[in-house]
Amino acid sequence: MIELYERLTRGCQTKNQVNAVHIALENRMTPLEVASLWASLTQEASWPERARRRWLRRASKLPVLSETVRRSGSWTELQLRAHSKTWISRLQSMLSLAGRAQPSSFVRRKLCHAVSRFEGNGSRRDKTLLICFSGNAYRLMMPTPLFLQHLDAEQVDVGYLKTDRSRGYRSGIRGIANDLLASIDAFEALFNVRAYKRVAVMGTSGGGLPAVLTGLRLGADAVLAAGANSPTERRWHEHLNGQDTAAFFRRFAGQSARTPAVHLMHGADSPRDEEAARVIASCVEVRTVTPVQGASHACLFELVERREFRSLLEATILTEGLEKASPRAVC
Amino acid sequence: MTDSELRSAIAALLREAGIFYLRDGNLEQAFIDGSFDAELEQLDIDSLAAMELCIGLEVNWGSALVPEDLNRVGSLQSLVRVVRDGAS
Repeated sequence: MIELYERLTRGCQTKNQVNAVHIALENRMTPLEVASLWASLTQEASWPERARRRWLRRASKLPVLSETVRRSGSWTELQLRAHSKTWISRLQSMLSLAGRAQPSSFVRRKLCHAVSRFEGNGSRRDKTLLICFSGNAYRLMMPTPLFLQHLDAEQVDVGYLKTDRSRGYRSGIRGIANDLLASIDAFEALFNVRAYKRVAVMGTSGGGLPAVLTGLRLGADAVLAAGANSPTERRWHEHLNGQDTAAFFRRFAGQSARTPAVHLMHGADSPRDEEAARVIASCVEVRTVTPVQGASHACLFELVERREFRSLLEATILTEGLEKASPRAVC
Repeated sequence: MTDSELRSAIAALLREAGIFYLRDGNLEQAFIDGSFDAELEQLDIDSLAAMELCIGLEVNWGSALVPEDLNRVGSLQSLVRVVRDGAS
């Protein structure tokens, strides 16, 4: 991991360039990779390097030398190194919000351009497949390793989807199909859905509504959509094909043998998300609609900070249908 | 680039960075016209959005702003001035 990090940041000259690398890594790293990178970046440097950095810091405070030192590449490198350490230390300490002593042992496999699978040990026959539609920022309202740290890699495999910002999932998933319905129908082969004991779907922001539609289509056990968009928004109009919204949902639900337990969440301070949840709940059978008090759009991160996210997952998508554990519905 | 074009580009950048205050309040056009201003702290900018915004400002206009600087910028129209003056 450290080799990749060094390679990605080698040409960076500014904090913004380094931040761009950090954002990209926060969207794909596993908890184990965070731990590994944290160990490497915070490792004590060798003594000649420590001496060189100490000299630079001291020289930067001397009026005669400060200007020269601060213009040097070494000074920039020192500043960016400190910035990297602050970032990885913050991310590492964030993982503790999940309440696990050890990093979850997920391993990432890229399945195609927009799809990755995070998986751990254990037979799929005993596991849940959690299909996740990330939002516009390619994340589930939190850094990906923080999300994964809330899951047990021996009980859950995660199918992680991302979309191009300008397109959304409305026009399908890049590398799979050019419309959402056909993309969902390709999940069976892509994720080997039927091999799993149960299937749940989750989505945030722009991924919320596609998560509900996918849950209906696959006949998933449970769905959690947070801060979802409303199907009445203009961008969905052309995909409704002139149908009303209820008929649109029925089109996706048409072939599935079971109805998922749908849970909707929104920040209590986000009227737009509240309205979207109301519209969705008027179209499909919904188990719960939960406003998160004190939260605006990014309501799941608020729950992470309150250390309530893991119990939310267990109460909604990780246990629903577990007791029945019947064979998967064929789509 | 005129001020109006710059404001239009910044409005688009705000959306790209996941800052939807102007979009959700139907305030984008008023901001582009120059008739609306708001303090950045009103915009509900989280740390990720702040980074995305500063990266976009640097990529598009060579701005040296970093997230820690945003608190000092003040308002949206001040941000436009900072970008314009930095780019000229």
